Amino acid sequence: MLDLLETALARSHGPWLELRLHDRRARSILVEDGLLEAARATRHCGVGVRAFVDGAWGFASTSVLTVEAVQKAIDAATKAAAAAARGRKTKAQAPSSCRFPSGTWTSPARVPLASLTLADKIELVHKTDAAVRSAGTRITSSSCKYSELVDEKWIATSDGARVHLVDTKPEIRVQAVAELAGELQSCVEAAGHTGGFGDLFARRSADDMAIRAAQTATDLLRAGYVDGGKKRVILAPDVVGLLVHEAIGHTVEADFVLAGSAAAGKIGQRVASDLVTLCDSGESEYAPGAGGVVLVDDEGVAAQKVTIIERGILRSYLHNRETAAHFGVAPTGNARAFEFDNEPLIRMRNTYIEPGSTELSSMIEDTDDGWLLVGAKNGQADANAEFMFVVGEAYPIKRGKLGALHRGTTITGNAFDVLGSVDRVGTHFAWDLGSGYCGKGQPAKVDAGGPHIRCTAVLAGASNDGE
Amino acid sequence: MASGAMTTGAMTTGAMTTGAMTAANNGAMTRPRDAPTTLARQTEHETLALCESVMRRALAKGAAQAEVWGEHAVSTNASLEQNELKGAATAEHAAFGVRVIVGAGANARVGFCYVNRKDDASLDEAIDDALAIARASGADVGNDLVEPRPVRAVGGLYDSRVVALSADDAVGLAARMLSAARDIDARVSIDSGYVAVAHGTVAIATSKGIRLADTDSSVMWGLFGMAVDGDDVGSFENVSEAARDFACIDVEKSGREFAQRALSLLRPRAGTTSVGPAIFSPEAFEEIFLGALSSGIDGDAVRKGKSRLKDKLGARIAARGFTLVDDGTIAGGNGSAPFDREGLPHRRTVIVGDGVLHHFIYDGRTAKRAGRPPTGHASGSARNLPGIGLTNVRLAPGTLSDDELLRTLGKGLLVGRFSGNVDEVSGDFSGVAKASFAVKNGRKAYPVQETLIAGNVFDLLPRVVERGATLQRLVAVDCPHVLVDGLKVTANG
Repeated sequence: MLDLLETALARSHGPWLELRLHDRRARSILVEDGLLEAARATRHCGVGVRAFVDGAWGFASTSVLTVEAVQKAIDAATKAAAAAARGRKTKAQAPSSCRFPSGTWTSPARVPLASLTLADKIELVHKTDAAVRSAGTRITSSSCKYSELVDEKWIATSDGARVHLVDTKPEIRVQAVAELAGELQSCVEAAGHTGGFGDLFARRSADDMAIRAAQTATDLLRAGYVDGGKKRVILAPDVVGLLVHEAIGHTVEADFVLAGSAAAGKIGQRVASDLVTLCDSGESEYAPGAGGVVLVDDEGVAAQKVTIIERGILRSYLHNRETAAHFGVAPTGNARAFEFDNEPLIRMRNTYIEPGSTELSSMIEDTDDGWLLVGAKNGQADANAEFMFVVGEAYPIKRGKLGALHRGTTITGNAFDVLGSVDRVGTHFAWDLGSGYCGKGQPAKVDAGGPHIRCTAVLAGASNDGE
Repeated sequence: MASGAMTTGAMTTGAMTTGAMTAANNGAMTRPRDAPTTLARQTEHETLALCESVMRRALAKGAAQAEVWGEHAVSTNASLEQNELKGAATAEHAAFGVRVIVGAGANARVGFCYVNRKDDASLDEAIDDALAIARASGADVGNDLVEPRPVRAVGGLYDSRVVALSADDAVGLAARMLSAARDIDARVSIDSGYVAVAHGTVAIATSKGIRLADTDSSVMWGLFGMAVDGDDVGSFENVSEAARDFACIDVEKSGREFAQRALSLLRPRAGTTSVGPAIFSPEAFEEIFLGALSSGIDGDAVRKGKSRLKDKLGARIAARGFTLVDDGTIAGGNGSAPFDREGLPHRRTVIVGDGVLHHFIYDGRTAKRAGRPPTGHASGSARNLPGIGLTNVRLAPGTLSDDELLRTLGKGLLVGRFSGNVDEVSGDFSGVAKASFAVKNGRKAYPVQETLIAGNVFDLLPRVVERGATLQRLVAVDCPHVLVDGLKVTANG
């Protein structure tokens, strides 16, 4: 396939070009209440072409894999770039030069996805769905969805990138819905990783996830509500992941920085307590199988580990080749496109806080009044560093003792204030945000995590009927 | 809210092509005023012919029933980034979703495959994959394609002036939108923006005899960014608009509105903790209330017990005067199309009338399982099996102007946007009130920050106090400002 791209490149004369052939095969299987609701296979394959002409970008794509079709896409991208150039007041930075990796790069996988047949995978999903319903008498509905992305890419640019990439990302989501006197509560347990089944179930088996989902949904029926306000909180690794992704990660994406995000101009300044070292990496640091593994990005740049915050000091933004040229730094390998017909954007990969020295048990014992928050759901970040995210479970801590489950809540705060309030960082590291997608005009598979941390944030109060 | 084909993302074109013209043998058709060109007609014909060919090949390979949904989309986009034009993009793509059923009745099994290529080898591979999935799947009586029904044309969904827009035109529109926003005040910063022009054909052929194709066009545009005044970085603001009619494209108006809204969010203060009445903007009401309501009336959620409304058909679920209508047949509607994802006609449905729940919505499979007729609400694109979704949604307006609504509230919170979580099953929501204002003495006083709101949609619907008289169009949802009592507000103050 690299031959196809090289031939098309060789026949074009003129602009800077980036050609990316992406062949994505995906499968998903959804079972709800014992019925197979949907099983599907998809193949989304084609070539995306970016052209840089006179300080502007053009993009076009084709699903026809012939030299002629790719040349036609090159022509369309070049014309689009020229049209954009005519509308610009200034010229965009040309992509920075860099040394490109070459050859084939394959993401590590333990127990490859191809080792199970379609029938095996359907059976796994049925069994997990059934395990939810057998795990509690209050369960009124159950579901399990397995999905996988199997990607193969070839990237060639007119300035020398030539690389072939192979990657697999499986995911599983288990949901339980429990009912008591007309009230419904639900819990989702999920895992998403890069690799194979050995990675997907490295921390927990599908049965364990089913049992926990059923138990938590049932317990939530009788759970109390969080009292709102500014609180001391201990965040579990998945919630830490959501915090670092939403509250910091987005504000240091260099395209957001250039638009005026709250991280603009703060390189070298203190933005967190000195216990916090925060990174984004294309590899799976500390534990294998992180869901956002990107060995080479979609501009053909080897994905670097980026230390964003080092002991509380902001050190780096996340870059593509254009912003790297603007800031005069090396590109960090954060340019990612979801599919062949998407343009690469600056995206996170695996974002995390490095482990510290405090055991979770002593962190709890050392907390007089606070909450342990578990179960990251969704979240968003704002330009002004205000973030919000939702957690599914809250456990009160009173005088060093952990209390019973309370219903989930929403957390907000200013990212830098919250990271500045971090006074304990745990020892045990986990990736736990690999299921689902980050959205920024197009989806991206990312992961995030870290150890438990203790900090201060604002929690939403009870639901209106909860008091 | 999952309503309408055009609400599924600004820059993708595949889902935007469920539009306006039909071209086959499913009942009498009348042509809209601005009919597609000969070339568009040819694309309709070719896409439908290929769908029929693949459908017949699936039957020949052993399927008892088969459905092929085809799409052909052409798009031209211009994008903004960091207060400048970023670039332009063009695309032309085909897509096919193949649904096959093996066996019959209680032994019917279904499989599905999507492919974005139309060479014989790729399409045969898709059929084989779908059949392999079907044979490995469990049986269910709901696996049965719908019977054909007459489909009538919907006007105003195709405009040749939109189809004729070039990359230069899209760039020009984006530049005008950017200038309109920045000319208001240099403190306005555009993080990103877009103008997306699309036209396309969808076609469906089923072994039950459905043969339909239609072609539509659309323009979507939007801005995302904030106001920055020294160290004061305002909260994100965004606008998103869509139109079928070339004459309705007004990017300058969107730019000006974006700028004014972004500037109004500078210098925020802490909110006030309270429980009481609040006004929800159309955006916030759609995000929280209409989103949960659309999940609650989904026939699939109802049948599975995942809806708080499952036993409420015919019962009062909202305050008097609360009337919510879905209508996929509105001429020129952004969520309109003559037929749904399974080839059944769209229609007008009163979901909630004067506070009473009248209808759940179904696709073919869910209807079959529930023993009810399908309602023409199958939604989605070639990439997935049909889901269930609304089309054009309208919440009936009230009688008060927006200023009168503020005076009625007197003191409280005006929720502009919502950034948080709505539990579709329970209706519980909690999150941050974004682009929101403290209301004092019946007027907007100042923007608030770090202010959390929480409640339960189904508990609050009966507590809707007033609705504004002015409807705001949110792509495929028309909604007024709504005054609701009983909102829990937690502030960091």
